[in-house]
Amino acid sequence: MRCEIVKDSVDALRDGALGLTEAAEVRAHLAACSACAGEWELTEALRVTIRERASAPAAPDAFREAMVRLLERRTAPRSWFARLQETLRRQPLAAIAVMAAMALLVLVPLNLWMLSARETSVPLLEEAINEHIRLGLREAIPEIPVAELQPLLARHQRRLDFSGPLSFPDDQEHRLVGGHVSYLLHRKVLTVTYYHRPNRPITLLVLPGAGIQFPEQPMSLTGKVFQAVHRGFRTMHWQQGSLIYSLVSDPEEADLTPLVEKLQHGTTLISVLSPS
Amino acid sequence: MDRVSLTEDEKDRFCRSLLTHLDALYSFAWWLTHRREEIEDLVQETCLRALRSAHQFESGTNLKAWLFSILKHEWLRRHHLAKREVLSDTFSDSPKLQERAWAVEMDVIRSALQKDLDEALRALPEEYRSAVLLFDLYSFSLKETAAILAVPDGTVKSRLSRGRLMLREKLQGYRASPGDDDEM
Ligand SMILES: [Zn+2]
Ligand SMILES: [Zn+2]
Repeated sequence: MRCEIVKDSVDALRDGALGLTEAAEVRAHLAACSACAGEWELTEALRVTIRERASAPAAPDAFREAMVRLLERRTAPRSWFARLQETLRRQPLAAIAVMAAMALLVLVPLNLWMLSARETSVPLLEEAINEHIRLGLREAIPEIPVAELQPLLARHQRRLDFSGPLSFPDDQEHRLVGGHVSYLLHRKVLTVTYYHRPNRPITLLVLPGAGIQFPEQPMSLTGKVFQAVHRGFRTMHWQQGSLIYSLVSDPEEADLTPLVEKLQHGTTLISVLSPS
Repeated sequence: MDRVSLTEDEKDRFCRSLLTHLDALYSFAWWLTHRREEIEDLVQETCLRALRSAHQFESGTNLKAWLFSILKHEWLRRHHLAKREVLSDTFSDSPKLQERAWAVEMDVIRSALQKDLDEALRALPEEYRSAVLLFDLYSFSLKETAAILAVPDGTVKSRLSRGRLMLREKLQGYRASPGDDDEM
């Protein structure tokens, strides 16, 4: 048997894919030809090195959990953000519509989100509302004072690609009261309390977005903000960098949009853009 | 089996088997792309596609190989690389091995650091890297590797041998210039 033929057969030999006779011939050649035997051994060593040392990162826990939930529901929500981006890419008109809606800040509240059986972000919605209720019941001053909140978030920012203000100096409308850190949805969540004039509490949750699914169908979309009314509370959710922002307010609260605008842009655009 | 859909029980079982391959799928996607969102998206899409066509899967055949082929196909589809894939196979020059002592080469291979090995693998053209990873790392058979890559067995063999030679050259290069992190 010639060396060329053997070279072509060695992987089939490794594979056990050769017939008995052919395998015996290749082995006989390897026993007799030092060049082929040397190559065989180098390749075997390389294979061992690859198996023992090449990286093979496992799926991160949050991703695994998301996949388990996804497969349990057997439906196909891509991340809401990716879905939105794709829609906008495919349909420039939709992009214009979204921008127009954002400019006019027209919100069409729908409460189908939480009713859908396929819905995957119920945990976020539920946890955000529960947190809002817990804080309301406690009526305690949040343990992190205003002055320390922004630096705390800034420390997170160094790892998370986000930058945005939490407090708005001289703002009489939304007064930042304080915050605390809780542990929800298997992650650390920064919870911030605002009082809307005169004293209606609004709760903001800021959390790492990895593994959190937003609804397959955006129920109400203004800009990139999702809105849902659930258990009588008003909620709005959006993504900023790798973080998810979730706002919850009491039922009497009319509109969270101005606060969303401030959190996204550090200022409110409503007075400039609303047609009045 | 020629049914259009599975029972709920069968779907449950299928999902459980699917999840046992999640880490392998994730790592293979990791080798195909750098971006974490894309990795997760690829794996998710793969699982959902598999679930949708679960009734087409022949039980008794290798589920893992089937999943890998879906993932590879999905990756190609996204990158519109089907054409390039064919073209690059027309470069048939084998890399020329430098003459060097067998013992030295063996030592280089055996003592390769993970960082260097990863970098060398990443530097391989995708079709060679995938062939080497599928056969040597994930231990698929030649037939399975060929099916995943959608190429003939012979192409797999030549990609394997060329890919490994390129890998050895790169590892040798790291050894020759230690401390040079900007190896391309
Ligand atoms: Zn020989
Ligand atoms: Zn914006």
